[in-house]
Amino acid sequence: MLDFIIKRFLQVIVVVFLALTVVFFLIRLAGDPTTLFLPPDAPREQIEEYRELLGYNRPLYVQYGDFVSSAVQGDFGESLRSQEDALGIVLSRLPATFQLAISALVLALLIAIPLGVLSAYKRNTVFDRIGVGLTVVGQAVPSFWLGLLLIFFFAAQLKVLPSGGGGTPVHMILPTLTLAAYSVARFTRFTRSAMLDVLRKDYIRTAKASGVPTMRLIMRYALRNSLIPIITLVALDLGVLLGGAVITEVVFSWPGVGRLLMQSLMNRDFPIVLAGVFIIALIYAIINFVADILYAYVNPQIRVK
Amino acid sequence: MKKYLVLLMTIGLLVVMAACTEGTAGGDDGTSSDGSGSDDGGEKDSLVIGFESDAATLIANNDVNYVTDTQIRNIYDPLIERDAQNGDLVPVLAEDWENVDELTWRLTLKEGVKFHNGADFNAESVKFSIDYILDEANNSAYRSRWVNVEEVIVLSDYEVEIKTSEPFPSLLDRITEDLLIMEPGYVEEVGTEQAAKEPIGTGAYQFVEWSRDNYLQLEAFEDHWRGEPSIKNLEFRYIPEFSSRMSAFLSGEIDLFKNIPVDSVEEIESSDNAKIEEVSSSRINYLTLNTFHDGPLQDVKVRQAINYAVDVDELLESVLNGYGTKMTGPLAEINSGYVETDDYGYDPDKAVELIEEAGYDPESMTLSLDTPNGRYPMDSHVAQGIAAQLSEIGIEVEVQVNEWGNHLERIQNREMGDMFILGWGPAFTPQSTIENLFTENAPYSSFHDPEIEERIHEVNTTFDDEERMEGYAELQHVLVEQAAWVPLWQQADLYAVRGDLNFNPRVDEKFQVHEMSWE
Amino acid sequence: MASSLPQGEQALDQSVKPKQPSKIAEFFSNLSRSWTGMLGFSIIILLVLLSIFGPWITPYDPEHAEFGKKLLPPMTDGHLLGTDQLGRDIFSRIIMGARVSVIIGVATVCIAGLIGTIVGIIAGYFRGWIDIVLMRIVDVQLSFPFILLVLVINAIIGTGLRNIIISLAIGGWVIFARVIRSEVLALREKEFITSCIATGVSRLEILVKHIVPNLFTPMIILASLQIGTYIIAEASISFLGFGVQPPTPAWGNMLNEGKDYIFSSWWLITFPGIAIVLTALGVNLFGDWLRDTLDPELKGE
Repeated sequence: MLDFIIKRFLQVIVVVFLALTVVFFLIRLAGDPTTLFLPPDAPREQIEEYRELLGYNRPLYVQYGDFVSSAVQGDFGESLRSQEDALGIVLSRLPATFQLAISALVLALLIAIPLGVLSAYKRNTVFDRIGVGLTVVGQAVPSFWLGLLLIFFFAAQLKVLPSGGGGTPVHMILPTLTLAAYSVARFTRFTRSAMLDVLRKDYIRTAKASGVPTMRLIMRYALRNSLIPIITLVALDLGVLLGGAVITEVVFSWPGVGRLLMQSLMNRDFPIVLAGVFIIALIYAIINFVADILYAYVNPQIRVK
Repeated sequence: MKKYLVLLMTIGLLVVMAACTEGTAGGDDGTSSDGSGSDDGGEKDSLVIGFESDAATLIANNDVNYVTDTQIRNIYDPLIERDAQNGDLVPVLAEDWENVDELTWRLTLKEGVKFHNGADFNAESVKFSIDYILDEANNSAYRSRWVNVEEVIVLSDYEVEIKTSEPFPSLLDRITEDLLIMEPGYVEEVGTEQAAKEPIGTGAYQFVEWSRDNYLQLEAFEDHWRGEPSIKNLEFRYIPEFSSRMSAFLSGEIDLFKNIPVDSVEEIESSDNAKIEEVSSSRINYLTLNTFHDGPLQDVKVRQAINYAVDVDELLESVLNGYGTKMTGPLAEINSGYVETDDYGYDPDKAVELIEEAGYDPESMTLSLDTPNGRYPMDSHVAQGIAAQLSEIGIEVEVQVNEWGNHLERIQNREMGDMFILGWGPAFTPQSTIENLFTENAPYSSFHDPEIEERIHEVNTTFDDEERMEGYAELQHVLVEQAAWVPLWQQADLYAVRGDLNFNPRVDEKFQVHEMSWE
Repeated sequence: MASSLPQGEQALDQSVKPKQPSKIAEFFSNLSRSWTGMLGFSIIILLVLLSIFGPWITPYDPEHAEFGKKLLPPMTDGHLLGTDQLGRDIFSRIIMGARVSVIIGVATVCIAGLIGTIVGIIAGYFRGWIDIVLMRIVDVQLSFPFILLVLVINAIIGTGLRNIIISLAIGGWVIFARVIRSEVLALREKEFITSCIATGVSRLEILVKHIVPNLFTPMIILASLQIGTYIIAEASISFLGFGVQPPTPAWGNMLNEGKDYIFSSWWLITFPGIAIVLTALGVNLFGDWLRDTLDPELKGE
């Protein structure tokens, strides 16, 4: 087990490192952003001077070496726009993103688990059909459109909820709903199939035959035993949530990492893009790492593979 | 048993993650309920301005971007500013200025002005602020505009002299548009990094809190030299999406915001306690006819033809719903060097004639037209309107909509095709507009003619005011004859304003909150 | 897959020639038994027809601006779904948007599928260090959220139809590589392959004659499941202002342009969204059905 953890951990480092390398070269190949941060009437000499100052005139491999050696120390350079530490800026937006992602995750689980359980227990009944139907439709609705619809109904028509900006809990309602919706569809499916697996097991049949009350059967025997596979599947799926968070943040002007990344892409503020990619890759890799270990813990044969 | 352990670990992890965010969530709640006091009844003394973007930094004289400048102008004061309505120079911290000789300017400063930390404003602060721009270590984006300044000499506590290395007639414009006064003692004590986060100035508002990408909170400065402003609490709240700003405005969360799409004017006017304010901005929008690009537009006749074939009045009316002021030459009426030039007018027949004279067939002509999306009022719509008009005389126009960063990059790398749409501003003086638009070094109109360029340089360094203005007048006529571009309009800046807020929009696009008050 | 699909069909043809008519009949009789599969299939056929015959059925020029008629509500003045902020007919733009979606979905699946399949075959068949290297690359890429990867790539290499296809393909090939590799690994262990190896058939021959033809089913299943992902991803990225740029009508950029009118003109954000949902639904339903039918083992996974 320890071997497996160490191996997986090294993999996390390799993954993050390679992701940064790829983005670094893509960015440099796409040209340098110097001119965007100077007044439009800046003369060529000043542009050249800036280019030199920022190091964009050096050979690519030198720039890369430099980048790697400072990135290892957590230094991704300064934001071209605000001249502040890029990683610091990204980290300062992280709490807002977590806030949104975690509340959406909790909401999604609160809806999806009962729905999935019901769907599995009442297999092939109306409940199941509705449950499955919701997941199928849910997966076809892109989150940005759902966001627009929510803005339209709750902010534009009913005028009861704010459609954007950060801060108060009220501001969180619409983005949380939007982000949770997509995950609800996926999590319901996970729960349903995990429950179906457990419900087929002999001990459940025995318990059922010996007259254990339904609620107790589900809660005590079935759900408890399917919780671990559900959790691991959910953990493996958090990347989708993370990707969705970016779009949701943009739609609702939520002050998190996603909006920062989008703005920095628009502004060509590449140190921030690199720091943002680093943080997202790192979080995602860590989530995968934890989920994998969980998974390996539950199914020991995985490790052997 | 093991499984429970794993479960516990997972839950533990989630709790830790949630706990990390809890603190900031609490912080946000506490502060924003302070800031949005304007929602409640009673005496209003707070103002929340919805703003599209965070400031890059709060230090003065560094970031050239308008979003930064607009916000920090409430914290710092300039020496000179523009009149809100006509753009004339008005003294602020400088009381008077004069030209000693071609290379020397002398400014007399206001006495009795205090910084937020109690320090006195004096000649040293002016010298420090200009030196800050000039010091390469500070990496100020303004530096290129100030390189002609050789030295700032403190004559007395309230008198400074600025020496330039060559005649620099536009120094006053630089002082007005760029320079804000910082407190030397404070910056030296805490360092520029800290001063960029917690600024000290002489402005009407002092710093309270800045939550990046979220809001900037300021409060009235009691000892402000104009007297304490009427609005006590000021917040800039950052909401990049227009639809979100709009809903925040309609729900009363924000009181004021800028850049209303013309199609939303009606919606705002018809809602409760809301009004629209409009001002003709100094920012101009135009259609370039790229002479750097190898194509028919290098021929003056074709350029003239495009001027005849584009119906600016119709575009203004149908795309911009009339919000904008038509231009006919390189300068807008608000520009200090403006002279009236001939209007090409709309004459499609003449356009066809000219194109044929130039040896082309309009029916087989294809031109490209690049436009940004959302940078200027209805920009991409205007582009498609122009395409529709040119297709009337048979020219096929391929419209390409660019994301802004891309658009600018392609202009600067001179990769643009036949035509593109761009805006320029603030454009109060002929020099900054004509020099930066019509010389070879400046691709922003992508028009270049060696003879005209030579004349521009001559005129720019003419020190005699009258003679210089005559030069600019002549240049304007030449540029129109040469059909250097298709002038479109001065942008109309549209503001959504709470009904009981006294607010007069400024031509320089700034929000000077000390000028505002609640009814 | 544009190049590999016809070959694939030939290969299939050769092996099952006498039964071919019954295959098609079987397909439809299977399909008719599943209403969801049928629904998905119908939506796909409709989409393909719209994208082929789009220019002939649009009532108006989808890119022609007519300012006098801007923001007309649905069912006015001959505009079934109304007009947008430039007076362009929304119905016509949605039809032409179908073409953009289909082109992007199909082209991406072809490119990503081709690259991914080749990589998967190489890795799975030759094993050894090349397998390790290739699969490490796949792991790395899978460790970054797909939509973010495509967004970052597209923002850097630039917008437009061609570049969004490239970005999606760069983001998408890894899924094919991983699935095809595991299929190849499984095939290698099958008896008919091991006996071929034992009888000294050349590696290339085994690959071409025995492995590749057996990969078509998983490829088709995967392609049909991925195409919906690509279409939604393109819409998301165009919605964010990258991807396909106006005036080219794409559902994502129609929503992007329409969102500023959310307070006054609901139809601008409604119909393109419905088009995206229907398309994704159709493709997903059909893909699910195809998987369940062709590969019952995978059912319920």
